[in-house]
Amino acid sequence: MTSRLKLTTWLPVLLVAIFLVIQLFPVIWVISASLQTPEALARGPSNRLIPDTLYLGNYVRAFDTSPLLQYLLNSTIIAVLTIGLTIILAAPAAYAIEKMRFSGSRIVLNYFLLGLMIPVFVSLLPIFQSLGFFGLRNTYWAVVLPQVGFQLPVAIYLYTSFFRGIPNELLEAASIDGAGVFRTFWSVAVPLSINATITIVVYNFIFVWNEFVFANTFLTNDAIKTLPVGLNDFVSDMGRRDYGATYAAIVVSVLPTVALYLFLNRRVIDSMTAGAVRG
Amino acid sequence: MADVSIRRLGKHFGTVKVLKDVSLDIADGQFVVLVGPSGCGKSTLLRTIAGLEEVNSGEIRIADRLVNDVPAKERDIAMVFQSYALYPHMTVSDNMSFSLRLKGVPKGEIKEKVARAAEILDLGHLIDRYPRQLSGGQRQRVAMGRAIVRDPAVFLFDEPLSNLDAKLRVQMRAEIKELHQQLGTTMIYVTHDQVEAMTMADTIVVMRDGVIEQSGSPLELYDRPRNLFVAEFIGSPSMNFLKGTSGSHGFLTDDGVEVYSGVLPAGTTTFGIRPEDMVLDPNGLDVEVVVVEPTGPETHVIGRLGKSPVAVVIRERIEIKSGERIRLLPNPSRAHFFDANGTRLN
Repeated sequence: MTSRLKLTTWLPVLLVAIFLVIQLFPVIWVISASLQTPEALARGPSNRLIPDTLYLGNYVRAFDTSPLLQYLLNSTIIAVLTIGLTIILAAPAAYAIEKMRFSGSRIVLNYFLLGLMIPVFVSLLPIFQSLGFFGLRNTYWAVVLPQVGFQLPVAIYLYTSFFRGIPNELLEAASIDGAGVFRTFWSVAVPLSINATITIVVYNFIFVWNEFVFANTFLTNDAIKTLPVGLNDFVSDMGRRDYGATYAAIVVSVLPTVALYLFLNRRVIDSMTAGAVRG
Repeated sequence: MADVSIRRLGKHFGTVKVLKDVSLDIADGQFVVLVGPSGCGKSTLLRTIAGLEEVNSGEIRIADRLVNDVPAKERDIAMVFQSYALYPHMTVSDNMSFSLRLKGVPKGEIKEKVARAAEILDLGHLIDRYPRQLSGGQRQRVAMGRAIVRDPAVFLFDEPLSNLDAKLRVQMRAEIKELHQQLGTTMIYVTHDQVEAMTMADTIVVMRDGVIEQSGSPLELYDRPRNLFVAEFIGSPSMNFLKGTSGSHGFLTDDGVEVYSGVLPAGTTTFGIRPEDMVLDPNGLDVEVVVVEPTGPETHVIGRLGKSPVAVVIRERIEIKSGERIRLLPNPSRAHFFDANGTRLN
């Protein structure tokens, strides 16, 4: 009995510890490497995980020798536009599907969900030609619009699941109070779906921030390259000569995602575990 | 304030007819309670009056205006829902003022109306709280406050006390009745609880299977139920029904017990007597006691008359045990007679 009790206590802890080591080791290794001197890095894999000194020269060189700030700015603009547009389109669509229940609403939902099955690579050529036709290649929209298209199914699915939990009586109360459909959506459904929105923001941000295929295909102008594509340049141009600056650039590129997740982590967990909304 | 008139109202969901040619007139300022078992159509009727359900046939008029195609927000009604339906992200004050803000009422007036409603409902100290910080009774009061500030022509209540515990329900019942006396506005109230209906209503409307079985004052329904269904539904404990045959001298139950002597309407097959209309009497009918329920002021006894179960309310405390026998005399002037179709005969 006692040994069983002990097993159920320490086994999950052990599993979580193993999982944590597997997850965190590469991150810690990259952060550590970005803070080591070129000499220490040159000693190869035998170098220490905890550096002797906190050497910031790698970061200085990373920003000096590449337009890292511009890449950051481009990625930020694309992320904000993509996520903003996704939410602006997904929330009302999901509300209409779930709460207005027009005939064929389920078919519309399934139509949106079909988008989940389309592989990105299949769509590359048609999108490339369409963007050329509309003169959008090498603009932010060249990456924003296809990404919105690919993010919409998941966002609509998440929103419909969430709206399902909002009692219809709340919306009916609003309509009796004098709110029209749009006002009910805006004043009742949107504020109540804040956790769902945050989940979608975090989820989409990770994808959009790391997106490589569209950016690498549709953005050839250096001035609007995103961080993942910029990092690719980094490795090929400097990687062989300056590992320290490369690691520093990788850390800089990952920081916004980590910061956003840490900041909104609680809300994401809340929305994943929340049941119906109650008054 | 307004009267409500419903004419031959029909509503179906798919092939299921929920309301069948329902007609009802509610006078200005009346407190009408729609009561009936689950699925009888009472909530649907309320929702059609609110404009939350479209009607398939018939007419609904509020203050003489045909509102069949008028959206809910333009019907000049307010509704209190079973789950209160308070906006969780708004404070009590914001919940109550939402409709006024939508109407574009000036801020000063909104503040004044909310303060007045809060005072009526004793919510002044809770005005900045969120619904999650309130108890069930307080939430219910906020829901009523939200309705009051609108100063509607008709108040609609959809089982508003169902989520409250028994003690709070009694308290809120009195508060709603007092509110009605204070405001004098037409109120339509849905419940499945006949005690709520009896204690609150000016007029009770008993529904079954999408039709109105009977409407009238609580005592009218209690004293002269139109049929077996109403007789059984109104009153707690329910009326006793004894099946049998009517002869020239009285009513003989199927067990051969004469429970009534005298002239009775032809065709009587069911004799009804309310539990409080039987008294202990040495010359009464022989009843075997099965269960005794002392409530304090009175004693409820469930017994057996022949093979038929009977419930009795004795207005005194008596020492009695299960298995003992008592003698009960029905009050003949309070007897109810029904025919084979369940229709009242006297």
